[in-house]
Amino acid sequence: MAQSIFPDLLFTADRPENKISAETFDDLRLTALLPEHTLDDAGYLLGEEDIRARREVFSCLTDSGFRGRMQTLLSAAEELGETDALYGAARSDSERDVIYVTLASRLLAFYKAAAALSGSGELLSRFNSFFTAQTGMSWFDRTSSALENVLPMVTGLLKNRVCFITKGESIRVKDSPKSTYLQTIAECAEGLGLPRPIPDVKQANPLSMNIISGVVKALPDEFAAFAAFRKEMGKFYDRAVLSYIGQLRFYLGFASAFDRVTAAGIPLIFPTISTEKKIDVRSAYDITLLAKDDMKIIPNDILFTADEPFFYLTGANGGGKTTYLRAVGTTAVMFALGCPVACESAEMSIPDGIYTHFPRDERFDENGRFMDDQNRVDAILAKADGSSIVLLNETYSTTTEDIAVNLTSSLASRLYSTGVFGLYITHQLGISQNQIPYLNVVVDHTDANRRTYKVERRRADSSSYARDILLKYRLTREQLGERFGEV
Amino acid sequence: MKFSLLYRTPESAERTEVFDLAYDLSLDRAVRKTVSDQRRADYLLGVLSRPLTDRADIEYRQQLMRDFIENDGLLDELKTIFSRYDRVRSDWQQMRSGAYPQSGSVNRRALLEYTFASLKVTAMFPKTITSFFASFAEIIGKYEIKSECLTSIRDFCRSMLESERLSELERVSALFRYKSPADFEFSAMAELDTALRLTTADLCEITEIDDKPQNPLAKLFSRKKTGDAAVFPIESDEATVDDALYIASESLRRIDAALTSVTGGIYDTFSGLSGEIVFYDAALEMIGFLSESGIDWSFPKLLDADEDRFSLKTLRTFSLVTENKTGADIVPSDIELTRESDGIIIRGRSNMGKTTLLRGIGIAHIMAQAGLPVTAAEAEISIRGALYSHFSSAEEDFRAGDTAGRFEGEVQQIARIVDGVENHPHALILLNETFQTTSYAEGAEGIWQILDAMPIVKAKYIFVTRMNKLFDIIDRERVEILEMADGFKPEHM
Repeated sequence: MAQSIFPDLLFTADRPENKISAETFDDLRLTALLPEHTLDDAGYLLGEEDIRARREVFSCLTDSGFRGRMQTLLSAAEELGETDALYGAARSDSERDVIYVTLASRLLAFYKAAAALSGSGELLSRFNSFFTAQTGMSWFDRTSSALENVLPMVTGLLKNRVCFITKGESIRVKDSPKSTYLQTIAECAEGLGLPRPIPDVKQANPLSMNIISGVVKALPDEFAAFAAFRKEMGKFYDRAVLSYIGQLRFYLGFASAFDRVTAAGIPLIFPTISTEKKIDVRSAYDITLLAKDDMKIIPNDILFTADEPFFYLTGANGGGKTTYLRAVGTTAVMFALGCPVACESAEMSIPDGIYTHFPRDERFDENGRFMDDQNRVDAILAKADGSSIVLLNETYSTTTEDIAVNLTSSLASRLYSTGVFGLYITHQLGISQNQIPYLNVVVDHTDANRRTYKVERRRADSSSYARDILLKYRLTREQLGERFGEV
Repeated sequence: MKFSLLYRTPESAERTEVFDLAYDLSLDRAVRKTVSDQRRADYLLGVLSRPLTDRADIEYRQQLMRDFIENDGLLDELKTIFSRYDRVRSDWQQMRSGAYPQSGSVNRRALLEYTFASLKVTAMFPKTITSFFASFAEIIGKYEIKSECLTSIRDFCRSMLESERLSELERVSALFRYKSPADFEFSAMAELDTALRLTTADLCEITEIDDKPQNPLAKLFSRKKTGDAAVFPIESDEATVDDALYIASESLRRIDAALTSVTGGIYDTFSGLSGEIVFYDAALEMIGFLSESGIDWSFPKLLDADEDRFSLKTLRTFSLVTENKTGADIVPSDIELTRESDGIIIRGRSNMGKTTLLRGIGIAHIMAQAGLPVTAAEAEISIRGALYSHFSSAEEDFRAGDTAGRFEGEVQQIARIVDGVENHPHALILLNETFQTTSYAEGAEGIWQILDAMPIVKAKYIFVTRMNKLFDIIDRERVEILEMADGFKPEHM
């Protein structure tokens, strides 16, 4: 078993070269939507074979039984990882002996959970076959049998078995379980109708080697059994198995995000993979809004073609420009990671790069911010080519208006000419009318300038918004009747 | 369990929300006029700003108020003992902070000394608290009290004094009230994690080790040594000494934490009452002032919210005391809002008492829902889910000063009130000259749009206005119109 190579759950063969940066995940707020560590091991832009293979895993995850088994597997892997860290930090053979018992127990639990994870598709079949075979081997049975003897010894000695007697600076140890004053106080509390006191537990304190030796002397039979167990079974543990933690977190992290998506009534589909260069999506949703508990997400269509690959995006504040940009970004990223996408229908070609440029926090002074903007733009220009997607959000907004207008026009033209797919949100109404088309967020002037959060093709609208005060505060008789549920 | 003089249950307090009408109604000035001490007046106003909305909660305060009115001396005795009780915690914290080692760095030897010193302080308090329970029971037992609150306090104290558990806690505490860690041998059960690191150490034995006579309680509670398990000495080195001190310290810290938690839990039963009693102290002074000024007062008859009405006989507006008026100077009014009316609109010439009457009605509701008497000879009041006011003349903080800005500012305030009534059925809204910052025609049209919708959410309103256009558009079948006539008397129209 020790020589085995664990079959990967994320890739059919070697890992691809191109990655999506952590910055892009942050800009798109996917990190806010997804549980922590979901993207630790997954930010690669996949080829068609891997996309199709992962889709099979995601399809299995719609089955609650399968998902429960994968969750069990992840828990087992994480527990194994925690014990592995302790094992690595052990200072003596006595410590290693006792920790290895738990480690072996968790290793077997992981293998059993892995063997129970049957599912369709190349990645899962390969994985399941491997672990099913392993759990049928003799090493597995021998380790299981040995654990039945030593594991209860470990759990028995850890909790209130060892008594330390301190007198000034001296210490003795004995094997003698007893009741404690804390228990007496807790019983009093209960009798008085108060909650049982639970003193906080401090960080685990490593004990001196002399004390560990004392504990070993007090419990000689147990420690002899632990040493014998590690000597015989220690060779069966391969740390490479821990790579599954990141792989499982990827699938389950996205699955939990998909729960929120479907609970909000948003469809999830696998886009058709197009050989022609295009992104054609009907009713795409910015699902990252769910991280803010916004359940009323307005969908929008996305269309990028070789003829019209790049757009400016303009319009009123609060109208949904950034939301649209994120809808485009999350759609592209999820497609490229092999995930289902939140939309009605989609046909997409596979990108070889996805880049974002969002305003940064106030980390720099004005000049520093401009340089930071420019450096990040340069990095994108160096990497992006005709198969990339570039999403720019108010790039150059930190410099003076005339400079910003020139730089914006220049950057947009350059990207347009490379044929990348992309969007550029800008407030610079002075940018020259050239071949780059505009998208604009729609405001309904006939309905108190209501933001529709819809995006459509047209020139930016710079008109002001008149307001009717009572209407604005929803205080007309009709509005109140509606608000109060008048029959 | 936690007793409160203001709230019948913890949920009663959680149910309250701030509805601060005191400024609009001039209630703040009236309270400060009648309560001699600023701090007490502020406390009373704070409680008044959180009207109760549950009948049993209001009656809980009414009963207590009556006990204080009828038992001379009771309030003063309780004030003194509650004040002493509430100082216990700060004394406790001060003594514990004094136990902290003075040296700059805290090594484990110093930590053990500190932990034991802290535990000694903690161990004093179960006995202290028990003595207070005896005092509470004794004081309350001297008086003919009827309120649910004081009866419960008395009975609880008596039951605690007979509790075996409390006695047991006192006995355990007594083990740690004397000497220093060097005088004891500590035995602690260890909980280890899977890496053999110590997670907890819990004391199971404490034994005096010097030749002097043992503390009899320590002796009593020391467990008998079984003698059947081998004891292994551990070779000493610097790390081992450190760990030995840590294990002893940790086992004492956990006892200290547990005793602190339990003692604190018992203490909390009566903590904070010295603050709450200020409400009754201030209210008693206010009632005394009313009696001396010849202003009638009475506890109102509380009606359920669904009855949706009020009736006030010989109402005198309390806020007029700020003008040094006595009962003889203030013209009383009889006023009633029936269940069938959506609200009352009050009109009349300037200085005829429209706003005064509005304030009187509002203050009566606030007092009633605080559990206090109202300044009327007889009163019946439905409990309101919320109380709101908008006094246009009292608002001076509109941003711009131009008409459009001021009007929008008013609309914003009304919008907040409407948001409130949407979530609080049976609200009462008091409006004074609202929407007169735009043309009266527009203002009347605008305010009626809002008032007309109030019955949908079971809200009622009292509206003082000079916008005559309003009377052309309101539904007179649904709205009571009062005209303030000469002699400051309201007349039905």
